[in-house]
Amino acid sequence: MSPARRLPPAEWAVPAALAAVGAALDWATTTRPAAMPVWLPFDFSWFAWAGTVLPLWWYFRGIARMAPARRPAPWRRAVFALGMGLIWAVLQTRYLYLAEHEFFLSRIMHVVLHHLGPFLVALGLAGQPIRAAMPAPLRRLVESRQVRAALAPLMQPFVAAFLFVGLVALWLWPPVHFASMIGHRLFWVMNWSMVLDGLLFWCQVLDPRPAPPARAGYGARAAMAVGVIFPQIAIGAFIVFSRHDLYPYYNYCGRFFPDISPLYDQLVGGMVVWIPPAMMSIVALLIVLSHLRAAEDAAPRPLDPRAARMAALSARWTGR
Amino acid sequence: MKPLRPLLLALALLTTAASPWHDISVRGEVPALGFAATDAASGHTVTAADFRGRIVLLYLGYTHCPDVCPLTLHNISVVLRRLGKAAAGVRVLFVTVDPHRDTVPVLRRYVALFGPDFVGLRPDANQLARLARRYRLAYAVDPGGHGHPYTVTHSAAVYVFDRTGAARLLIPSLASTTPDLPGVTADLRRLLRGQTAEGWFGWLARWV
Amino acid sequence: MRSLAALVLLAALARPAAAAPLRAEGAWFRYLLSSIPAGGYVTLTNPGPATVVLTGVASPACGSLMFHRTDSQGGMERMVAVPRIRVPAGGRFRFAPGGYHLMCDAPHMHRGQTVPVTFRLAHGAPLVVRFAVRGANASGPRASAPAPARMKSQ
Repeated sequence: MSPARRLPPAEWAVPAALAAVGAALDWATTTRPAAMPVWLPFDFSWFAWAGTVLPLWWYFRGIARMAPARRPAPWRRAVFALGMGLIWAVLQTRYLYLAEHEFFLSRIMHVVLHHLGPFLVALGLAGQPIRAAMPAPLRRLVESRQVRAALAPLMQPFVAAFLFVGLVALWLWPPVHFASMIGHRLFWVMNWSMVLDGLLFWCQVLDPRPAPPARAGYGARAAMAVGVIFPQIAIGAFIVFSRHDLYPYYNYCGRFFPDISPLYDQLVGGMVVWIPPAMMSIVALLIVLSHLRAAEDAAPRPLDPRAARMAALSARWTGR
Repeated sequence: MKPLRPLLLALALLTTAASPWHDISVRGEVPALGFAATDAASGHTVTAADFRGRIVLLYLGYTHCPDVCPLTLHNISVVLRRLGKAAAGVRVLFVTVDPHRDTVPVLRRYVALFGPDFVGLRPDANQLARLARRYRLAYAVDPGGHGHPYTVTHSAAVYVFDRTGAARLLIPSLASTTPDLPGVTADLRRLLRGQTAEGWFGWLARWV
Repeated sequence: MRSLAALVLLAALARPAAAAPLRAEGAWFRYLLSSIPAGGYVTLTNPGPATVVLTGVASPACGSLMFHRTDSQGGMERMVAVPRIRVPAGGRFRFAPGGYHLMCDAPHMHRGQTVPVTFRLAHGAPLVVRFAVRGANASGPRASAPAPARMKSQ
């Protein structure tokens, strides 16, 4: 690189500062774990650190470079930061220890990793600003034909919904759950597969744009949001009504709340699988419908007949 | 939900039937033996490397525990007696979660009561936090006061590591009056014979 | 042990007002070190027609003595103090390792000895039971049966 194209200080100073903070946290959690406050990492992960602070940094940097009219609204920036913060919090703070030692707390962790966190991140409309600010080689990689070709089948609405529910079922299948909770590698794979799948799913469902450039129409996206409710209710209900302890891992390694019996822990955990995801889906449905209305208002005529039917239906709820 | 149950049961059976162990195999999932703590016998710091070449049982507890910790250690000592001479290849690490009250002399006298193969380990707060984090073990010490008693809670599990230090088995609890002592003895004997083969099917069954 | 229990029974019968409401069997302490609480175990049988309530326990061999229960539901081991114990009519109550036990704080006893323990009852005269003192690797009141090789490791 020629001296004339030397990077401006912010380009290297901020990442260097983030790396330094990461190194300090890494050192502290390795050597002084007993002295860490609850809000600092319990088990520091460079992947979690980089995966949280770099997108945040790129997002706000990207926004600063965008034309003011095209920037995501301030509330969107706030929910993006909140979503990233929540994902980092359940993966890294002392909450991680709690989630390792109580079934219902591990379920709340997964609601954050798979539903709430990615949902809030998706509302931040982060794609454009992040791509604008990320290093060029990385941008070329995410925009490459190979990556797009690999993601395309996963974003087909039916496949996306199946993957979304399938991952919930896979990690709750008792033998897999045991192996993924007791082991470190599988635990890591489990949590990050939930985050990535959550992002893939909610970024598509909550995309405000109409079908082209978005991959699926509003109707298909509304159906995705609603379709995943029922299998999750079935899984949650199966756990809630189970009369025997499906997840003995927590008995082996000990529960954080010894006063809560294993079956009660399991019952509450089943409720967490059952109820909050269904509520999130309903919120997502309302958002998709409002996007549809907005797109319709912007366009001279309905975009397609199915969308028109959805719009007529949505008028009952939205009153528009 | 009904039709799912037989399927689930069949899968559970498949995974357990494929395992030759009486206890729970954690091979390849749980990290290898790794810790540092003060050895109650010598007063010096020991690490996992000092136990290479032996089968290691790891248990968290505290000496001011009148019932369940001595019961667990007693059950382990019964297993060691059943092993006979082969017990010389086994070390039982009793790690105190209450280092404040369990000083080195207390711990040394305590583990000596159970036999020569029992090793008392007193970690400092950071060593204990690292060990518990590594093996997903839980513990809590509440010094009490204001009318509340000093209470200690800890995981009941016993981990078993093989001669190379690899984690092999989890014994859910030996704190019972009817523990599966023949099963635990058979498992330790198997490890002592160095039979590392789990069987392809057992491996597959755990990962499908 | 049985003759001991009979003796206790006789002693209780000899009191003018009360018939012995409970029979005690297999009473022993697991004594480790004087600085460490000892766990006490016994089986109490109630042949009578009414539930007998134990309200407390004491012994000259213990700094303090309490009813305790080991709670290991959910995979965490901890001790819970129990204020009173009910021995059902025609039934029995077992203080046994891994469950209910007597927690003897600051024990002063030694292995091979027997020490008296007094159970206070909600109604009637206290019950005195003699407990055998055993070591770390004991699993019952008698030296012979379950742990033959224990002396080697003590």
